[in-house]
Amino acid sequence: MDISIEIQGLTKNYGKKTALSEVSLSIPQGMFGLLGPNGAGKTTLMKVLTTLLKKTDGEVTVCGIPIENSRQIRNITGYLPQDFSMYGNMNAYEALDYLAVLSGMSRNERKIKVPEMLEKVNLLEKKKTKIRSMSGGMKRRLGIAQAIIHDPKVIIVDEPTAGLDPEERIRFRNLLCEIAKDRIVLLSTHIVGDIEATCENIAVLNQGKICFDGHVSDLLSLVEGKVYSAEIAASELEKVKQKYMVTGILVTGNTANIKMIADENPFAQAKQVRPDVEDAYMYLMHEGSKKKEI
Amino acid sequence: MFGALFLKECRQVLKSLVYYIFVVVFIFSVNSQMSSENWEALKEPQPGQEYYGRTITKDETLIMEKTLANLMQDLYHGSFATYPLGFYKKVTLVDEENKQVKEILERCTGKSYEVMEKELMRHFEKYEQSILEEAMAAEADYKISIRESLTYEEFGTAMEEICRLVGKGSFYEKTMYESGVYVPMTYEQAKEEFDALCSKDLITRGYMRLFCDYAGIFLAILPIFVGVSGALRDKRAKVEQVVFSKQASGIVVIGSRYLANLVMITIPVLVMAFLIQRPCYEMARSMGMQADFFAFLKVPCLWLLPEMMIVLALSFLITEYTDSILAVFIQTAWGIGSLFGADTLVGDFGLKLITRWNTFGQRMLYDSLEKALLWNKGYYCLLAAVCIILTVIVYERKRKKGGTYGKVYKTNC
Repeated sequence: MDISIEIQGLTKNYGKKTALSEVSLSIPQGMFGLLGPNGAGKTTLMKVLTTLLKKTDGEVTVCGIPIENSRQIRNITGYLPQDFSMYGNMNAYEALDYLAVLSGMSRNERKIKVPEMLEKVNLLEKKKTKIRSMSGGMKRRLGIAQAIIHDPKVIIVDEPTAGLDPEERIRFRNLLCEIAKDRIVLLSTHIVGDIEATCENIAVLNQGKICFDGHVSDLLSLVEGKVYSAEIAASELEKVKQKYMVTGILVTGNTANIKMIADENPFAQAKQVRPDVEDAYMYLMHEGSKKKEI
Repeated sequence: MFGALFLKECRQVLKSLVYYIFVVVFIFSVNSQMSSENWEALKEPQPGQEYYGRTITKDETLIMEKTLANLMQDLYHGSFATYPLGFYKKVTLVDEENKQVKEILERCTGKSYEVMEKELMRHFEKYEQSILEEAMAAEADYKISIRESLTYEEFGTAMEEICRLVGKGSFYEKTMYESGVYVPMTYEQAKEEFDALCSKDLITRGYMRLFCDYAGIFLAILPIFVGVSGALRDKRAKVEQVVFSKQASGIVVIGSRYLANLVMITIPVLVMAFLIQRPCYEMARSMGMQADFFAFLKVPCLWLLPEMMIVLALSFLITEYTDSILAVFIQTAWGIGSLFGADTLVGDFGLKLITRWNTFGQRMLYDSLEKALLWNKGYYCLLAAVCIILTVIVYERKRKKGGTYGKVYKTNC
């Protein structure tokens, strides 16, 4: 089976508002990051791919299957929505078993797969824990278990790490990387760190349009030689922020260590540093403007 | 998939507090109505008894007198109760139509409306209307004498004119007035009834009809809460999107939920029917009579299951469509309207949601009304199926719209 998602000229309108405009993307096997600010249209794109929303225009195929064949698409797709939840009175095992039934799994399959998935997401010991008593991280892990239990070829996760503590976030990112073998994991987020730690291929969506699509190294090359760090007096901070795109500030007493993006060396004591994805993302979002408040 | 999901949905119903409230309220309500039976009906009628009960009359003069009395009361109060498609509808006529009704009434009785109005007021003044028994007696005793030359055919034509004015489902339809006028029974009639109770009803079937009468009142309303709670469950738990994204079709999801709720509601009803039937069965056996042990299954399944089906199905449909508890208000109003809209406590089925049979026995009457009952129950079974199909359509439409949307939608719509 061809494991890829092909999107050509996808447009989605909500009444007069265009949420996605002429989006074209090719998503290969492995982890793929979809980055963008809040309201960029990421959730809309995810929902079109999971058949929860009808597209207005364009062509979409998932593993060679046109998106219009919703039944077939649902068979090969696992979806973890942004605010995953389950019935509070069910425990972890019951919830996963219930969703496995909805995924069309037989009793024998469920007997094997449910404990296996709970173990995979480190919830086997908590299988009797009621959903209402679970932490946000535990719920998300259960969410990923339900998304992969029927062994889908495509897993779509919408902002899965929002609201998680740092430890849970790292654990969750690692889990996504583990399950990305032999399948597509489409990770949508506005948290740049998640993409940086997990994805090689990314697309950046802004105001319903793709403004970048490629390898992480290509994104970084956009700001290569344009990221500087400097130690300045804290009182100068406002003036510098007005003049340059500042991507990091660490204030210590009267001094501030800042990281900024500039086309050329902004002042003598500034040192050029290696850019990271966050710098590149900020540059992309504010390209053309040198006076931005961050 | 359906079977596994059905069992899981049953388990979910069992975890619902609303369900337990339903069970407790149902048991308490029915028990409070049926706990004091004196088994008089099991005693064979003897010649010379003062009272043998009531029966529907076939006497055409009596039918005409009572029907016209009913018409006079409706005209006096300015409204006519009708049940088009089983739903209560209060019909108020315009002046011109009221004038036509008056003319029909005057034609049938040979008296002026003013005279009949005075007679009506004089009659009801004789009774203390604030006492229920008195008010019921006033209603039962009130009749209008007809014009001597009035034939039954002429009367029938006049009632057809009334039906044209007030619309479908009124008491003035032939099938309604021919089965809605009661008279005291004679010894022979009582004996015939008793024999029918023993031979056709096998005692317990007749008793189960009485159980169904009381249970039917509560089942017109109580399952609404179970249905609404079940249909709102996904929304409350915020699991709509994850369920929508699964392979299971709307028919499987809605169908299994509906069936699970129906089965879980039916179980306590049948258990209650069994418990209520037990003393009757034992009493009949102790008196050497043959009794039907399985009446607690047969009668409620015919009488109550279609009612539970439509109540639950409609609550599913309204809730799925509105995502609110609106069904509670709409259906409670329907249930109450149906309860108070019956012209009699025994029979008068039409398309009413609650089919009354507030008596132990009366098999002869039941035989004459069985067809009407089957039509009523068949109609509601069919309507329930239609409601569930519509619920599936609404569910699938919501699924294609994604339930809730992303921030783009939220901030712009």
